[in-house]
Amino acid sequence: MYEAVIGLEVHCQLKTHSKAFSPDSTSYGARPNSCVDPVSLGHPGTLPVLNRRVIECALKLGLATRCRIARRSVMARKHYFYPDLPKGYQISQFREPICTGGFVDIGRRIRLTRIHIEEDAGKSLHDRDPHATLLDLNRCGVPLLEIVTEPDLRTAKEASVFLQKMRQLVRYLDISDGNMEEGSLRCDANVSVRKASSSGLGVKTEIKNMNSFRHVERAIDHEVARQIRVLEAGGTVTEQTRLFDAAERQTRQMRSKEQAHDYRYFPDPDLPPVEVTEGMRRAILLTLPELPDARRHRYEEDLGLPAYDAGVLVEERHIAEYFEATHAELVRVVRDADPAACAKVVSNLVMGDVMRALKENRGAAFALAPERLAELAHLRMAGKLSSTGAQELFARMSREDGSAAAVAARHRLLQVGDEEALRPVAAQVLRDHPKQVGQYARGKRTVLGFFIGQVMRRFDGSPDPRRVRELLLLMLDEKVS
Amino acid sequence: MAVSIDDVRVVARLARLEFSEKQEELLTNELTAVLEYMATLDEVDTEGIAPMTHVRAVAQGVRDDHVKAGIGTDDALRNAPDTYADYFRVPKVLGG
Repeated sequence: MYEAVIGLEVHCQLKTHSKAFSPDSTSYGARPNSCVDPVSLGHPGTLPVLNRRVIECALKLGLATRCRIARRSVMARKHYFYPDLPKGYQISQFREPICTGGFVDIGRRIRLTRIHIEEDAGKSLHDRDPHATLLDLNRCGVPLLEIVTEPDLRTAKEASVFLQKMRQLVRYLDISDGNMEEGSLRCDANVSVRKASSSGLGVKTEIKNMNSFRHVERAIDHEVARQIRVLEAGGTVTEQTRLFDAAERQTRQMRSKEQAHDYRYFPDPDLPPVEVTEGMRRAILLTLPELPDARRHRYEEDLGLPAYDAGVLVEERHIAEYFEATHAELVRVVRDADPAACAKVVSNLVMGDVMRALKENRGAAFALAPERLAELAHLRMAGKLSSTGAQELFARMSREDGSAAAVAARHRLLQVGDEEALRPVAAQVLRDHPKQVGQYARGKRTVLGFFIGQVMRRFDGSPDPRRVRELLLLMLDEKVS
Repeated sequence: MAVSIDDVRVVARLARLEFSEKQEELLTNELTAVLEYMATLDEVDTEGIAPMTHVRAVAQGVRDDHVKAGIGTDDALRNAPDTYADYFRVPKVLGG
């Protein structure tokens, strides 16, 4: 039996307005080569100056993953020739990165080797022109964090879970949009296999070019299977870089160890070392939001929510915050509120109507302010709304002004509970259908459902069907006996 | 501190430069001379002294995250040997 040993290198594009070392814009999808300046184009005689926000982002992620923060880290030059890198080197951190150690919990603890700051390269288009490569250098100098894990992952599934966790974290910290399709989150994997009983490491290959969670899983699964086939056939795995081809669903060789780059790193003399004072560290620590794991734990323990609800609600920070604002408001307005009961009512509304509306409007704002959703939740808790009534009220409220009670009254959505309102209508229904009353008298009890439906219809579906049923039973018994 | 001809070839390949054998020989001698000259520094005792990578012991030279418009596509492409539409155009590149 073989076991896979996997380490990841995740590149995360930071959400800054300007680039890492120059003030030109980072906006995505702009006219090609319009967001460039002499620094990002690598013109001679230009001087890079580090963007303060980049340091802050690195500190946020480093502190959130419990890394050691270096008081002093060094920007280095990593040299390689490629047309999308006009300077001939990439500014990166090498020997002295800003964050080391740390971990991410995916059920198991996955150790981080380091997190460092670097700049992105431009974009090459190989398929527009059969004889040439076209270059858009807008992405040159866009700030990245590279997150490197220890070889702690054991399956392709774990690698994908880790990546999803990273995405959630950078979105919570508001340092990146984590969008894999637009390349804000990219991932390379170092993969080797070994006999399950052994503790040494096999020869590894590096897989590049995986731009979705599914690709990561597929590419690693294929590479692990390929390496096992090689070993089983008595061969040896050679150290090399392989590209994942999503269409062919396989990895293929890109370059071997012998052709590997010699990057000739050295400290960039144009950039002073990055200093992090205790004051900066503490200031950033105070800005960290409650992180997803802590939040999920609190929802389960303090609010008594099922694990499923807690997981769904904390997935995105803005949804968790919306849930909490609504819940706080509901607890405030309900007399002698039970926080757990309130939590479940709000949770159902958020996971149902609210998230459905968000999905339909793709990224639009929440349909209702938390205060108005709390009013709706209050009516529901007081038994004045059926579940379909709540759904309709939500839809009405997102189009109309007014309190939940006012909108519900306007559209007669409140459940009619009192007998006084129900009795005359029920009596009319029985008078209108003598034939069915006769059937009931002869013992055909199933016509009760028909009467319930008739009453409900005249009330626009709003009465509590259980009460209607009880009342009809009483009235029919009086009539028949 | 002698530089070999193979060292010269490696450095030339990394820099995407092509030399004749005669030039390679010349460069081997010249680079050896440069490194021998720099080796004078080895005579200084640097035991226990941290490497200095920057001359000025500056406080953070950082900037705020404000955007200033760049030079624009037309100016960016002005000095390029070859362009196509809004792009730089370079000889076909494959792989990495």
